[in-house]
Amino acid sequence: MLKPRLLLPLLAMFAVASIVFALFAGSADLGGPAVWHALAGNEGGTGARIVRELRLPRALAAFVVGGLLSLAGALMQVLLRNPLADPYVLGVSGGAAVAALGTMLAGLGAFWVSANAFAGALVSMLLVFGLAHGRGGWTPTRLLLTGVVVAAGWGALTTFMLAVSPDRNLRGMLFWLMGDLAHTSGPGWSIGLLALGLLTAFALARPLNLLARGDLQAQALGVPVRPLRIVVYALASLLTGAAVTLAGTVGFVGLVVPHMLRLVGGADHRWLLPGSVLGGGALLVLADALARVLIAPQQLPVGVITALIGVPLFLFLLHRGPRTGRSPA
Amino acid sequence: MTLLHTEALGIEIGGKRIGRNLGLRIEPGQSWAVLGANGAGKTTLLHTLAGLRPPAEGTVFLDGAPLDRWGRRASARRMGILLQDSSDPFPATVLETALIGRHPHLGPWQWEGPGDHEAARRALAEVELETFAERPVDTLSGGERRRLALATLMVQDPAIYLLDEPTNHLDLHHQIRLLGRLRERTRAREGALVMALHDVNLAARFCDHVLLVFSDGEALHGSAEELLEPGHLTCLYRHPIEMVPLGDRNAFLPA
Repeated sequence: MLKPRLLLPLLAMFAVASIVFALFAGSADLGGPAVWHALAGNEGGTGARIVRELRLPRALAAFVVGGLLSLAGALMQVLLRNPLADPYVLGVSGGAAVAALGTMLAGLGAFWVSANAFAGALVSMLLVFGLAHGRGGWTPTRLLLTGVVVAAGWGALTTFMLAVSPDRNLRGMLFWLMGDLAHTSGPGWSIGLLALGLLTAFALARPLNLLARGDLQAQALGVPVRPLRIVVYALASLLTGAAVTLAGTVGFVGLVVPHMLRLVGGADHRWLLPGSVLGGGALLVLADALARVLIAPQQLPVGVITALIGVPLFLFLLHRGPRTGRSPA
Repeated sequence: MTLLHTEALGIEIGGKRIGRNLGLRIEPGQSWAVLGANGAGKTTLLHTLAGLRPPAEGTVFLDGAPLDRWGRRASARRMGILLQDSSDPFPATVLETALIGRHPHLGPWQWEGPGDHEAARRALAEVELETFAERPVDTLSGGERRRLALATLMVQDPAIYLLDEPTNHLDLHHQIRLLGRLRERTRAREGALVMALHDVNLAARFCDHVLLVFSDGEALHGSAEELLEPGHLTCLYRHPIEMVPLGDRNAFLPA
């Protein structure tokens, strides 16, 4: 296992490198000087404008979406005490999808799609919270089951809307569902949300380490379990809602990045949470740049690429086996 | 001052009442055994004493103050519990696991310092796991995990140890050694030991007080000398039990 002290700077370098890569990648072949001038802001050529107005905002948006999803995924996994949980498992994205597709069906513009997607995410979050809360305990299992069932309900509605939509709407809807950054104008307010989310989550990191070992164990060591679970649930849902609002339901990042980082550097949330933001952000920037150039001039939904990069990487790390010499057998 | 006492305590599991009007007084230096059949309510009682669940009626007092007036972290510095089982869905090393015991001692933004690491290594040495520090927990055997859980509790360093079947999975050497160490530890710092046990002989060897929880919900408590006798035990386990003198001790054997 590598030391987090070493891993975090490595991940930060990886993030910067991925953004630089995204600035160079594209159908217009821009050289180093053009990109440099664009960043320094002292030249107004077409190349510089492409970098400044298209590639940079999109790369930043990709970073933020990837960071939001990975952070939300890490939180969701500890909340549900299940390494298989992802940010979408409790139906937040389903609620957002139903609202977004409904808005597209109604023919409203991109602003309303985003606004309603966020509203849909919040509605779903409150719905699942209310239903899971109910009477009695708020156990991970109960929360998970409620969320999964509500998500299935949203899924049915989504399929229904796809089935009744006119053909001209279908492509946009499918791209939204697969995750797509093509219509993102930039990260905007979500950068602030990501920073705030990371700060909040980081402040809870040590209690989260205890929560990962079970509610009773955490409580016995002085963690106020119930309030913590509520805060973590709300935070993870908000982060997911923001990510989905920006880019639709990009899959895989939120499930696999935290998991990969745990395999490499251990499960201490004080490193895992910032690491997830950097790693998830970088992965999505890289994937989105590839999605733009692989079959240019056509663009792929970024979700395809995240899975294509992530699956082999993840399997490799998993296969590498236990982190120390002795095998469990 | 009394470390832990209860007034008119009653607990409930699935509608069944246990130990109506229970008035326990656990004094500094004492070792208590909680004995009872499966499902009698030993675990629920320990959880209630630890503040992990509210009592159905009555109050638990820690150092003379009602438990619900204690802050969670403050009470976790005075009183710790060894849970019956632990599960770790996420990877962790032995040392990391032992270190979580420091949580109630650290401020919200504080990281474990050299002193905390030192405490963790000492505790690992006490349970004979010092060479396992960097091992992933999921490579440990059941007994080794149990020792690690005990080490985590020692790292928490409470005055009152509540132990839920501490000897589960432990081999004989570790059963005797660790219960002995825990008793020394609590006596040395005027603390107390309260443990749910299934082995009457361990209770007789290590405890000066016992609480018998009968299957019908009645409870009896008092000195071990008085209560550990074939009559009570036979009734407790609904199985005839004999007492056989063995040197300066008595052994209890099921007939």
